[in-house]
Amino acid sequence: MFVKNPLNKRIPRMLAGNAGKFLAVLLFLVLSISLASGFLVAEYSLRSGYDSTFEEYNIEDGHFELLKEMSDPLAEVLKNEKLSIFTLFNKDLEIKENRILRIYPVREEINRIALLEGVMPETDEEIVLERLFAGNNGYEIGSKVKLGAKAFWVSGIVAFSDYSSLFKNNADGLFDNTHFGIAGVNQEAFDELEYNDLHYTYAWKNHDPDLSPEEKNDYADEILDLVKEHDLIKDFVRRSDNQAIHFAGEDFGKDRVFMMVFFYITIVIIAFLYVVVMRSTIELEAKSVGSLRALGYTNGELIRHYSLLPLLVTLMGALIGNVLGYTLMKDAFIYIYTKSYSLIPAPVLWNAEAFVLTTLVPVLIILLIIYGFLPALLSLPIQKFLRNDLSRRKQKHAISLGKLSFIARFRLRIIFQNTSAYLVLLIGILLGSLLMSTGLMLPPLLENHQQEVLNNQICAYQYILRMPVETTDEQAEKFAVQSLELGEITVQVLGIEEDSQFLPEVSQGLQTREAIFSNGLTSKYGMEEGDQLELSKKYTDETYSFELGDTVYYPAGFTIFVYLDDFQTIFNCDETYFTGYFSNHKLNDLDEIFIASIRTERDLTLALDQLMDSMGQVFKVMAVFSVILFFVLIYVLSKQVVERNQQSIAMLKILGYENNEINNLYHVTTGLMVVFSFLISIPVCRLLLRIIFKQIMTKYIGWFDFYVAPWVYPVTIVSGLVSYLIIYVMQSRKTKGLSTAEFFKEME
Amino acid sequence: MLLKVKNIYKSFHIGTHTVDVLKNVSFQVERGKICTLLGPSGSGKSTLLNIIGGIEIPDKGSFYFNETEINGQNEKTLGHYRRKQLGYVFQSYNLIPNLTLKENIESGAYLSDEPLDVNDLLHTLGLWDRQDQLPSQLSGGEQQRTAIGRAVIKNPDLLLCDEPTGALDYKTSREILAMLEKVNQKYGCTMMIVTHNEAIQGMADQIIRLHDGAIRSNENNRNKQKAAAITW
Ligand SMILES: Nc1ncnc2c1ncn2[C@@H]1O[C@H](COP(=O)(O)OP(=O)(O)OP(=O)(O)O)[C@@H](O)[C@H]1O
Ligand SMILES: [Mg+2]
Repeated sequence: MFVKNPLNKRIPRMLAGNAGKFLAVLLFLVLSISLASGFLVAEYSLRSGYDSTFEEYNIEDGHFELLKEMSDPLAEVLKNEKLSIFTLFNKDLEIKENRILRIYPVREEINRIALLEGVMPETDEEIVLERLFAGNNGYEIGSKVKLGAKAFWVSGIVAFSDYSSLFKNNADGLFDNTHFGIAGVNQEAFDELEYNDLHYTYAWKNHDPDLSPEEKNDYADEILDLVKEHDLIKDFVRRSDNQAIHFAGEDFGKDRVFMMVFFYITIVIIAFLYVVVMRSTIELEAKSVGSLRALGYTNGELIRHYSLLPLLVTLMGALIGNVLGYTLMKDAFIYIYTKSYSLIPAPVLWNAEAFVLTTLVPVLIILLIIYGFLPALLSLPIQKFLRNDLSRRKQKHAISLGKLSFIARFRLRIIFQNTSAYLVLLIGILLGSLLMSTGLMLPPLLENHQQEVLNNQICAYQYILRMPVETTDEQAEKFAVQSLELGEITVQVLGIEEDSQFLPEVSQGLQTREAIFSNGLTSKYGMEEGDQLELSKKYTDETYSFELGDTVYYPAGFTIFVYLDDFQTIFNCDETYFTGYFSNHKLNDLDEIFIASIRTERDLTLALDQLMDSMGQVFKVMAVFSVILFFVLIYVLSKQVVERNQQSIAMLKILGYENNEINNLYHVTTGLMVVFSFLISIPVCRLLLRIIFKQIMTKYIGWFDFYVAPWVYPVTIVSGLVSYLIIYVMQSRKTKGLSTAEFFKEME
Repeated sequence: MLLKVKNIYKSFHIGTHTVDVLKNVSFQVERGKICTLLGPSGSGKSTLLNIIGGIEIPDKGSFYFNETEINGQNEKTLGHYRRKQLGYVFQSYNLIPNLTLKENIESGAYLSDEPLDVNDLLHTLGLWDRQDQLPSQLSGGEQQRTAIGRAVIKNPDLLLCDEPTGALDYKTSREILAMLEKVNQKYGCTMMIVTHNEAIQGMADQIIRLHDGAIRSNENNRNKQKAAAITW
C-alpha cells in the first residue's frame, strides 16, 4: 500500500528535513512509554511474586503471643484437623545503640526464609541477616555481629516471608529498617542466647487454603476465644491485620491511576505535536499538494503519505520504549520498592495488560488524533492549496489590529498564524507545571507537616502502661486512649484531665459530655459543629458515636478529645482507669514491667521519613520528566514556528532586518507565549493541585494540610524559562547562519 | 557616481556543469538617475541585481556604492547597506504571507529613519481599499504593487526593481512607472529597473543592455520622456 506510492520515495528526505523535531518527539515518546511500561511491569512482577510467596513460603494465617509457654490444655484444644500450630519464639536484642535485632531460630515449615546471598547458618556461630537492615548498617557476608557476649559471623543475607515490611510491632504506625531488623540463627545458638524478653509466639496455618476471608476470620475468632480461655495472651494478629505481611502488597501500584492519567495526557500532547508538525509540512508544500491533487492523487494517498512518518516514529518509540521499560525502567522502579521493602526476588513477567495500556492504547490514541485531523486538512478545495491559503474560513479577513506598534502587530500576526501550536504549548506547559509542582511540593509538604506535628506535640514522653500504676512524679499527667475504626482509618479517642497542663487549649474548650475533634478529621469528612461521627471497635460489634463540639489544630493524627471522666463512662471502665502519662521528662519511678511503650518525638516523625524515603525517587523522576516535557515542547513548537516562516525570515534579512530584530520578532514571540502559558498555568495549577490533593486526602488513611512551599512555583517557571532560553540561543544561532543566497535557491 | 561596477564575473556550478552567468560586467550609474537594464531571459539581469543588492557575492570584480567597496564586506555590513541604502523589488514579490498588505509595506518603513507616509503611498499605489487583506487574497498585480510599496516607502538611495511591471496590465504598469518617476524626482532616489519591456527605456536616463552575461551596450538616453508619455 505504501510502497507503490512514488511519493513515498521522498520520505527519507522528509525525515532528514525534520530530523530534529522527530528525534525530540521520539525521545519523549520513548521516555513516556518506557516509564509507564516499566512502572506497570515492575508493579505486576512484584505483585505476582509477592502473591506467590504466600503459598511458596507457607506464610502463616495468624499468630499470637503468650505470656509464657503454651499450656498443655491449650495445646490440646488447638490440636484439630482444621489447622496446625507452629512455634515462632523470638528474642529482641539490642546489638548496638538503637539497633534492635529480632532473632528467630531458622524455620523451615512456616514463614520460610528466602536466601538471597550466601548460605543458611550451619554452625551455632553463624547468623543470617535480613537484607535491608544488613545494608543500612553495613553488614555483609563475613561481618561479625555480637549478640550479647557471643559473636556471630554473617553467613547469608535473607528475606523473611512474613516481614516484607519491617514493622517491629503490629500496632506501630510505621516501620524502620535501619533501627530494626530480623535475623536467623540455628536452634542451638538461639537457645544459648542471653535475653531479657523471650517472645512466646505461635503461628497457625489453616489446612484448607481456599477458605473465604470470612471463614478465616471466624477460625481466628475461635482460636482467640480458646487461647483467652486457657492462657494469658499478650498479642493476637490475624494475617489480614498483619502489617509486616500486608503493608508492602498494598503499596504496589498505589500511584498507578495517577501515573496512567499523566501518561495518557502526555500521549495526547505528543499526538497534537504531530498534528502541528504535519500541518505545517503540508502548508509549506501547499502548492505541490494542490498540484498533486489536481493531477489526480486521492486524498487517501496523500493522507497515508503524510501520516507515514509520524506512524513510523510512533511505532519505533513504542518498540524502544517497551524494551527500555522491561529492562532499565523496570529495574529502576523495582529498586525504589526494594529500598523500602524486604522483598523476595520475583521473575519478570511479560504482561499483556501493561502492553495494552502502555503500547496499544497510546498508539491507537495517536492514530486516532492523526487520522482525525489530516483528512480535514487535506480535503480543502484544490484552489486553496494552489493559492497557499489553508485557512478553513471562506473569506478570511485579517483581524484588524488598530493602532498598535508595528512590532506588536507583527508579533500578534505570528501568534494568530500559529494558534494551534501555541495552544499545544499552553496545554503542555500546564501539564508539565502540574507534574513538576506536584513533584516539588510533596517533600516540603511532608517536611512542613512533620514540623507542625513536632510543634504541636503534646509532650516529650508519652507513656503507655500495661496496667494503671501510679507515679509520684507530680508533673506527669494521666490520660486514657482507645483506638477506634472508621472504615480504613484509625481514630484515637483521647481522655484528658479537666485542667490538663499539656493540652490547655483543648481542656479549656471542652465541656463535660462533649468532644473536640482534630482538624484532619473534620477536614477529611467535611464535618460541621453538631455532626455525628460513628466509630467502631475492631473485631467487635461495639460502636461509639461522637458529636463534634469544636475543632482543634492537631496534625499528628485523627484524634477525638474528651474528658477522662467521660472517657471512662463511654468505654465502660472504672473510675480509676487510665492508659498512661504525658510527661516532659523520663518517669524514673515506673517499673519497666508496667511500661508497654514510650512514644517520643522520633515515633511521631518516622512515618513521614519513611514516606519520603520510598517516594523521594518518584518525586525526582516527576520533576526531571517535566523539565524534559518543557524542553521538547518548546523545542518542537518554536522550531515549527520558525520553519513555517523561513521564507519570511530570509526575506526580512534581505530587506536589511538585523538578526536581533528577527529574533525579537519570531523567537521572542514564542518566548512571550511561553511566559504567557506559565502565567495561565500557575493559577490553574494551584487550583487543580488543591482539588486533586483534597481528593487524594479523602481516600488516604491520614491527613496532611495543603501546603506549597513558596519556592515551588518559581522553580517550575524558572526551569521552563531556562529550557526556553537554551532553545532561544539554538534558534537564534540558526537564524544568524541563514544565508540570503541560500534563500534564492529555494525560491521558484 | 553613486554606483560603480567593475569587472564582475559570476558563474554557477550545477554538478560538474558550470554556467557563466556574468562575464566581465562593468558600468557606472550617477546619483539620482534612472537606469534600465534590458536583456533576454536568462541573460543574467536578476543575478546582476542580486550582486548589487548584496545578496549574491561575485566570483571576481568589485562594486562601489558611494565610493565604498561593498563586495567582500561581512554579512553585517551588507545587512546595514541593504537596510539603509537599498530598496528591492523582487521579480517574485516575496511578501510575508501572514502580514496584511499594509503591514507588509510597514515592514519596509520600520527600517527607515525617514519613511514616506504609508497612507499616501497606499493611495498612490491604488491599494487603499485592499490594505487589510493578506497576500494570498491579492492578485499578482496587487502583490507586485505591495512589493514596490515596501521598497519605496523606505525612501532609499538606490531602488532595485526586478521586472516591476512584469505581472501588471497596461494601465497599472503605466501608473507604477509614473509613481517611480515621481519618487525619483521628489526624493532624488537612484533607480535600476530590470525589464523586458523595451518601451520603459524611454523614461530612463541610462540604458544598459545585457546579452549572455556581458554588456552589449551602455548609453545615455538623449531623448528622455515623461512616464506619462510612454506607450506600448
Ligand atoms: N542559484 C542559481 N544556481 C544555478 N544557476 C542559476 C542560479 N541563479 C541563476 N542561475 C542561472 O543563471 C542564468 C541567469 O539567470 P538570471 O535569473 O539572472 O536571468 P534573468 O536575466 O533575470 O532572466 P529572466 O528575465 O527570465 O528573469 C540562468 O541561466 C539561470 O539558470
Ligand atoms: Mg530575472
